[in-house]
Formats: sequence, structure tokens, C-alpha cells
Amino acid sequence: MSFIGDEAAKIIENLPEALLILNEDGELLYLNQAVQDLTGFLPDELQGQHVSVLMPSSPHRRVDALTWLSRWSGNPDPSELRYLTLDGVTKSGEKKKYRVRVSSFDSETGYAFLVLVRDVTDAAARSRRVQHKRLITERIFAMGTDGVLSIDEDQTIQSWNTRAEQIFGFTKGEILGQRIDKIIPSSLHSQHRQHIVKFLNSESPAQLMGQRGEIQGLHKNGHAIPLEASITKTPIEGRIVLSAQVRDISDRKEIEKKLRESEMKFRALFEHAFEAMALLAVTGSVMEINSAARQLLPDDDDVTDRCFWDLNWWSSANAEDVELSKVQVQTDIQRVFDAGIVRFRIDMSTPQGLLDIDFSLIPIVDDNNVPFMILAEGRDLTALCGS
Amino acid sequence: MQGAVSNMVPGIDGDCGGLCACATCHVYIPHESQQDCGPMDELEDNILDFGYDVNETSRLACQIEVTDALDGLTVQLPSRQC
Repeated sequence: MSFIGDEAAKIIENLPEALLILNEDGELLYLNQAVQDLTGFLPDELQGQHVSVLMPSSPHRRVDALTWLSRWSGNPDPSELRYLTLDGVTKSGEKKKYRVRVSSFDSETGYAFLVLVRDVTDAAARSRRVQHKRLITERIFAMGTDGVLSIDEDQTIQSWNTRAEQIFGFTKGEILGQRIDKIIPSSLHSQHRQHIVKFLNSESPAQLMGQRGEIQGLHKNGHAIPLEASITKTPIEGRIVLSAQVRDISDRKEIEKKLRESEMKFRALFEHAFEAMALLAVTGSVMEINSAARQLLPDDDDVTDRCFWDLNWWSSANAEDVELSKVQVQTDIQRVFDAGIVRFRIDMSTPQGLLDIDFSLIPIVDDNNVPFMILAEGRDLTALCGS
Repeated sequence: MQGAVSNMVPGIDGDCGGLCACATCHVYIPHESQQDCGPMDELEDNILDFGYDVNETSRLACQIEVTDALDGLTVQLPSRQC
């Protein structure tokens, strides 16, 4: 470098940053040791070569390195350049990403570019990987089937996903920055606040909210929402962020209510029916019997899971006939699967004495017409037949 | 760009946050909608030099203000943003 003194040349040669000096045509006048370490090229290999040897043009980009350097040499502010990298290549052909700062000066020998080059290949790749991970997790957060929200230690809502908008009726714009009280019934504010404080002070990183994770939320239009919720806490730089996952269980509660009502109706019909009834598994074992059927049995007779034909109903003065009756009932239960409804009449030994009972065995089928239960009904014909 | 970033639309990165400084929100605008995207200024044209596979339909999404005229707009994306 004839245009600077020896001391300055030594300093530049040993700078910890890679430095190139180019003329206005992009030809390399000088490169320091750091450039050699970065690219693998020796000074003799690059002296007089065009800068495109280090930063080749690409058919995918409009600008080439020289145009880039010319444009930015008048504005070397790093804040302008921090998002832009130049594609580079080493002597061995390895592709690189360079962050470049450039300024220009007029020397005795002409106009020159001073170019600092920093290898950001690994940092750029790491940044991309983090960005992709963030994109994936944020999409899961945004589009998941559960509402996800977070609050800070002051219980102010910091994030709010699409499902939370649907559950509570508040858009992100309406709810961010509001206190969590906005989505909790006022009667539960105090309890909820205490719960959060207790959780913050506990060692547990996550837990269900309420009993079995069930709590009440408040919709924008004022109605209560049954929710299942869990919360986690994450310490970030001295602060605690609480994240809650909430699921609207209104539908499930409605189904549970309908099931309870259905069960009540079934119980009402089953227990208060005049006729004796038994629900049997397809194997013939008793699942349950109603009150009318229980009255036909001795008090201490436990019938659950016993075979229908083994119960102490089938009676005769003759033990052999009892056995025949049992076999007959067993056979009739098997016939249900082929014949559909099977009816038979039999004498039953009951606490009220011997009764003439007309039995029906009715298969109960599922949506595929496959029997999964048998209903055994018994009608007392004793009085009708004037025994 | 803001709409894409806020809704986690992959492929529009917006590394500089909309400052017209990074060319990672590069999109292709259909011919019939280019007029509605507003004119391109010199800065945007300069930064597009750093975009990937830029062509005559290229714009930086951060420089397009969304108006009712753009309702229903579909943009294409380059195969990569950097």
C-alpha cells in the first residue's frame, strides 16, 4: 500500500476485522490478514482481481457487489445495513454470508472503497432456525383448538390467540393490556386473584385451575362460559409470565346434562315400571334389575353378574324340572340373536309364592344392528289366569 | 407485511419490521392489482435489488398500504426471501 505510511500499514494489516480496499472499478488493491483468514485467499491471488471473486454475482439478485458497495459507500451507517448481507465465497468454494460496511475516499491514486467484511454465515443460519421455530410455535399458538393467553404478574393480558377470541368474544385489539378480570365473572374475581398469587408463590411450574381444571369464564356479551383451564409459569429475565390454556366445555356440559336427564328418565321408567325388568349382557349375565323384578327375588339375593338362568326364579316341586327350566331359559337367550324377540311362559318361585310369568327377551341393538344388550321383561299372568 | 407477520403467514419475513431495509417481505403482485398498490419509490426500488428473483411484478410488502381496493388480493412469493 504505497499511499499510506508503514506504521498505518502495520495497523491495518493486523486489524481484527477483515478489510478490503478496492478501486472504483471494484479491483482489489489490498486485503489484510483477516481477509486471508476469512476467505483462504492469499494476497497475490487476489491483488488486481475483481471483488466478484470474493462476492460473486448471482442470477437471482439484481445487484452485484460493486453496485452495492457504490450505493452504500455514501451512507455507511450500520443501522441501515444491519439487515442486508452479501453472498460470498471462499477459496475452497464454501458459500458465505457477509455483513459489509463500506466507505470511500479519494486517495492520491484515485477513488477507493474501504470495505469491512464480517462473516455472519453461522449467525444468519442460527437466526433463520430460530425464526422458523418461532413461526411454527406461533402458528400452533395462534391456530390451535384451545384458547391460549398469557398474563404478566400484574394479571394484565399480554397475548391472546384466535381461539381465545372465539371463546370469549374479545378481539386481540380489545383485550390486550386489559386485566384478566375482564374475562372472569365478578363473583369469582377475588378467588381467582388469590389462586394466581398462590400459584406464583408455589414451586409448581404448572397446574389445573379450579376443581378438576374446571372454572367459569365470562364472555364479552356477559354470559358465563364453563371452561377447562391449566396454567404454567415461565420466568423471563426476572419477570414471571403466566400462560393459560383454556377449553370451552359448554358442549360437553350440555351433553353431560342431557345424559343426566336421559339417565333420570331411564331410571324413572325402569324403576317404576309395573313389569319386572332385567338388563342382560349378551352373555346372559344380569347387569341390573328393576324394583318390580327385585320383589320377585329373596331379599338377600345378589343378582349382579350372575347368569339370568341361574337366578332363583325358576322353580318347580321337581328339581329336575328346575334344571330343565334353566336350560330352556339359557337356550331362549341364545335364540334372541337369531330370532329377535323370544317369548316364553314359566312358573316362577317368588316370595309371593308361585307365579305364572310371561317372559319376553328383547335384543337391544346398536347403530349397526348388532345386539349389545338384552331386555328381559316379565308380566305376571297369575291373577289373569285365575290360578 | 404487517398482516402477514401478525398472522404468522410463512414466507413473508419482514426482518426489519417494515423499514424498507431488508427485502425479506418481497412479493409478486398480479398485474391487475399493481396500480392499487401505489407507486414504488426510489428507496423501495433500491432495496428490491437485494431481493431474491426480483421481476417486474415485485414489490416489498411493507411498502404496500392495504386499502379496500386490495380486498381479495392474492400475492405470490419468491422461493426464498434471503
